[in-house]
Amino acid sequence: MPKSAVAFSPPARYKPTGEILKGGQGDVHICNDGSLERAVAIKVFHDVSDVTALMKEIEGRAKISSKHVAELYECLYVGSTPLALVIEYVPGESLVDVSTHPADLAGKILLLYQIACGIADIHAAGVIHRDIKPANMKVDGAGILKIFDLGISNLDASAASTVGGAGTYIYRAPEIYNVPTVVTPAADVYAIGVIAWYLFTQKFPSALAEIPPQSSGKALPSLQSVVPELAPAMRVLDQTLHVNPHDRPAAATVRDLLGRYITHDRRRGVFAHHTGVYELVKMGNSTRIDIKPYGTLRVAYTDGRFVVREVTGSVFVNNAPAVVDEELPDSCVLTFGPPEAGWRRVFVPFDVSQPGIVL
Amino acid sequence: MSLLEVGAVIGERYTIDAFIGEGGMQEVYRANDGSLGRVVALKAPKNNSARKRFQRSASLSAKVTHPNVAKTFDYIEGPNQQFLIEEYIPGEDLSRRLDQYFFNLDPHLAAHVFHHLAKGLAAVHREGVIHRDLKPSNIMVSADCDLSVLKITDFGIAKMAAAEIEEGMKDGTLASQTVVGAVPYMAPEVVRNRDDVGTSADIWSTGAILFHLLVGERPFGDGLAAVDRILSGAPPAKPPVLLSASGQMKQLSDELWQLILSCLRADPSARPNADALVVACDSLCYSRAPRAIGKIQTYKPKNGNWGFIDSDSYKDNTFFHLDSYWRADGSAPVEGQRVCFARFQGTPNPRARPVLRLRG
Repeated sequence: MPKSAVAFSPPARYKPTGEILKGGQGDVHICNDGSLERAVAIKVFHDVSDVTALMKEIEGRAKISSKHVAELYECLYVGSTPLALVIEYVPGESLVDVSTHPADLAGKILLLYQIACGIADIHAAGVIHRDIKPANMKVDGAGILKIFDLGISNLDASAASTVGGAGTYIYRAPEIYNVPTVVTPAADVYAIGVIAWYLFTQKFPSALAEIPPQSSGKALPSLQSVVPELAPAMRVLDQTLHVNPHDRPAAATVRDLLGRYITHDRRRGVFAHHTGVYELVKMGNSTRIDIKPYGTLRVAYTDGRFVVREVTGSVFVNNAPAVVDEELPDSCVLTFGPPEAGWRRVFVPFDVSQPGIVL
Repeated sequence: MSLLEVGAVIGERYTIDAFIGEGGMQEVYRANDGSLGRVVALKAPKNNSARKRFQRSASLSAKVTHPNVAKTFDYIEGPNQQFLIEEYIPGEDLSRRLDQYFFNLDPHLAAHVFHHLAKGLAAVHREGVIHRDLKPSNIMVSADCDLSVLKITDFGIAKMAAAEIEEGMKDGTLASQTVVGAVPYMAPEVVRNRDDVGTSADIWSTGAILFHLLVGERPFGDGLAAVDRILSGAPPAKPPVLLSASGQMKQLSDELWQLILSCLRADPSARPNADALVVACDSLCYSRAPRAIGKIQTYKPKNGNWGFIDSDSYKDNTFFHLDSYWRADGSAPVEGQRVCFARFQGTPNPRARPVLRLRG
């Protein structure tokens, strides 16, 4: 069984800095790339006995296109045996270090959103990470979350025993303890929920710390009790922790739902009337439009949505009668006056926009 | 005339697949990376002045890691030639998209583009790198009508091109495509002295680009003719398309206009820096509803200024009103006109907003 050499020596282009990080799947040598004058991380495989499987994993890894996955630059070979991967180096501490976590709620949601984006991108390429945890994530200088150490993990048959350090098992989904183990993308999604507990409380409910997790029948508390002000987003995160992998949402669903709560309190609702443009921008506020003699409409900006609160007289939303508690579409026309009023009716277009999420 | 043949193998790793374009300084190819099984962009310098600075340009771009900056993968130097290997971005550069696909962008799409551009530029400047040649042809965008992917590319090429531009401006001829393409986006202090380039010169260029996006024209005219007007230091006049923006479009287009004016200030120290632009963009409210392509099927100017759009993406027609129709020249919608639009629920037909006129 060919094993990689103990003393790794990269091609001359890469000058070792001497810094070597120990990883579950291989040692990581930090080197300087003389050609492009930048630092890179070279991950040397521990076990190269199954070349076919390794090649398949590397190809899958190369197909992932994500701003949230550390970039793969090169695969180093000895003959036709892959020996190591040259990967983007991101300096700084991993998310294990609480000081890397954003202090405010919006920042934490944005971080979880980025984690879900990265995992969704990985899954879209048909790859399962299998070892999602804070130790495999860093935030780079531009504020972009980067996920590491992926794609080769299933080759490590004895993963459970080689993962060093207390606490890392807590990110493993319950089904990983089944015999035989069948790992699906849902295992990566499970880890998002555990990371959420770490971000919001820096500790874990005891049900998550059980081996296997949630096996004693003790109820898992809800994140909604931890962050009640963002209950809808927390409900999604609670769902990622379902014991049954089939009951967990897809990473892309987690991404899309969390995405709604990043700028939901900074939306702008604009009513364009011929007398001027009226805005509804502060969450909790409402606007009342009174068009004599036809009717009035009160719209409230609540929970990130624009909702009809009161209707009197003859008011239509997109030609259908306005109904209390209905949510206005992000672009619609409000009509004041019955159809028989013809050209005397008053039309007020309403539009919603919001700050874009650009990472 | 391209330097490399299809099928040529570079560095025992990259097989040339197609010649995809060239600038004044370099040729660009699509290649297959045999080692990792992925498609990449491979760039090669075209002349001696480019060759001299090519490695420097490569390592400058390699310093910047950001989703809005093309990723640098590899650099290979042979006895007579150098190659830079970058992320391949399916799509085209923004200049070609403006010339062949769009006339101009509505404020929502322009805000989206500018937001990404500002984020990418902030990452570039954070690394102490100055791009020096920001212009639409150095910005790669995806082929969709949402322009969902945007990446800045071609760092430091301007410095290679400096000598050539100097020549072109001295003898007053349109010496090369490099000169013609670069000047309209060049800050006044750079036009005056090619060595006087700070990060604020890149900011000026982003202002000129945003103007071009919104209005469909360069703020001070095309080619070398722009030189005098850029040097005069006077801000551009507010174009009719922005003056006539209707109720819902007005606020966003006014905000973008203020950003343009702040970037185009003659005094470099009076311009915002890239981080300040990002802060401003982070609070811009714009719509990112996904868009579809369609054709104006009917339009009734005499009867309320509305009509319907037919699109292969939807079974039913989409209603639109003139207020949501964005075009630079103030022309009325014409039946058969190609447009892209976002669609919202409506009764009896869904509603389109905004509606952007497309070429073709």
